[in-house]
Amino acid sequence: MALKPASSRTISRRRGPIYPHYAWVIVAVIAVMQMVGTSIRMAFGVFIEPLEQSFGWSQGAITLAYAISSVVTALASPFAGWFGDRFGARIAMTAGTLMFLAGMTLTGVITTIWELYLYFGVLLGVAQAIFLVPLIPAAMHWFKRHLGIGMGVIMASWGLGPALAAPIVSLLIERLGWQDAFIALGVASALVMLALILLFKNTPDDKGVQPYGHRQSDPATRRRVLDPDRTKRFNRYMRRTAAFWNMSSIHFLGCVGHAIILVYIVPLAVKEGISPVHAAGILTALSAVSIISRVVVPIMSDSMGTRAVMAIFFTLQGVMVIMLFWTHDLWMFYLFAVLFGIGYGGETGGFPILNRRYYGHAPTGSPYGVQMLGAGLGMALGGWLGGPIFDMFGSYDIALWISIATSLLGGISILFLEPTNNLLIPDWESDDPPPDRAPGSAPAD
Amino acid sequence: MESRLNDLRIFGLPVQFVVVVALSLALTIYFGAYAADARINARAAQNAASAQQFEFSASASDAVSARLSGGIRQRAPGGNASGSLGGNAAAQPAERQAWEYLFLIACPLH
Repeated sequence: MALKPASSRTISRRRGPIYPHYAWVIVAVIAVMQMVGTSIRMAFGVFIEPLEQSFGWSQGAITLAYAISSVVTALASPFAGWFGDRFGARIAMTAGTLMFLAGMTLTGVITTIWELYLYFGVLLGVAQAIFLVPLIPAAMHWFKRHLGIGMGVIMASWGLGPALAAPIVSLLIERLGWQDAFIALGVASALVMLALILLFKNTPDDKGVQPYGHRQSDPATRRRVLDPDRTKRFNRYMRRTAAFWNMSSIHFLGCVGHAIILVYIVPLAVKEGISPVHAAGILTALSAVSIISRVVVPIMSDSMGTRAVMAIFFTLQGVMVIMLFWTHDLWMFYLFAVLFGIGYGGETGGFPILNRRYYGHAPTGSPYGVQMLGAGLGMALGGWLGGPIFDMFGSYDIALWISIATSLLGGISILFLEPTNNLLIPDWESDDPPPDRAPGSAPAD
Repeated sequence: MESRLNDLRIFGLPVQFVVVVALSLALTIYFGAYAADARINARAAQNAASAQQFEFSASASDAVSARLSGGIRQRAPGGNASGSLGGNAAAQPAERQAWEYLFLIACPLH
């Protein structure tokens, strides 16, 4: 029996939300790529002491490499998004993997602090932007429906990676020393990532299948080619929409809100008399709980109304911080970690769904890159702000109020975004210049 | 309501976005200038302390050498031992790094 050509394969009957499809391979590849490629920065704290002992550098000088890496990732995000739209996620992933390999192995042989800044800060910073930004729009190409489930799996990897990275890196440093640990991690991770790239396809067309959730009644999906003019044209119209700018500032506000907590919860707990080991456990509990909402929020956003769900989780993130004003005991800190972790994990998951609702199947690498720029700058500002505030007032109270205010402001801003039932620029591919906010059809339910 | 707010633009940018950028810049500049000010004051205090220590050890050695030689050692107009670097360091404000200078220039409250 001859098989039908792959491109003409469609779903003959309506199925449940989860069924076998190559989109899940893509989701798995992206989840592992992001977990491996971005977790090393989260485990940087483990390298501080060995670097201090080897070279006698101050902690401030060493952690500056982390700060440089964070800022470079944020600033490189729009470029990474554009690069993915222009050349395809597969080439972007290959470039990112090679930069990651170079950054890791060169960091393993550094002798001066400037080399640490250049290799760890700049090279790995750009590589991380490539792993974080173009892969999300690439995953969106693979889903006609049920995008939320795919995004939920990918977002979960963002929480799982840092939780696994620190113990693995510690073990490697203990066995191999920090230099060889960097080199071994770089080579092993790059090999895994290169193998995964072989499985990766930019679009369902490249695999000869329809996107996940495609129904027989749906119009045939247009073949998406990497066309620089198409990307340029979309970006021109997209920049005129208020949502493009506002999503970036909303992501910024959400990240300021949780960065303050992520950076200062341990010193805050220690100040209340909690031991440093138990205080670190609060952070672990918070990250672990966040994995649940990272999975759930994209699914809820996809099915229950993106803006409402996102606003609820932003609000939850902000309101829970109020608890810290009367939290003194360990059990209360853990209770806070659980409640705050739910809001924190849900802060980011709705953005890919919003992009789909507003821009449909357009090349959304650039807008997503700009949103990640906002997120990166928010993380940097929130992470830094608590320091001078503590020096100034001798307490973190003002920083906590800023965290509450930014999260709530983000939640309110979401409610003022355009409704998600229409595409914002439905006719951007037609010859006539489209109006900014003409009514269009929703991309998929 | 949301459409009316989204139509409001400042320099072609949505008002919501501009407000967030302005508030964030204000916060960053204010706390950055505070941090810069604190660092400069700390360095100045450190300089003053080390200058005082230098002056103390210089006057102690002056006294010892005066007692040994019986001569009169001239003192500088500032009251310090002549040639004392410590006195100059105490009189001069601490040097500012470029980022500290920028924050202090940008912040009208510092």
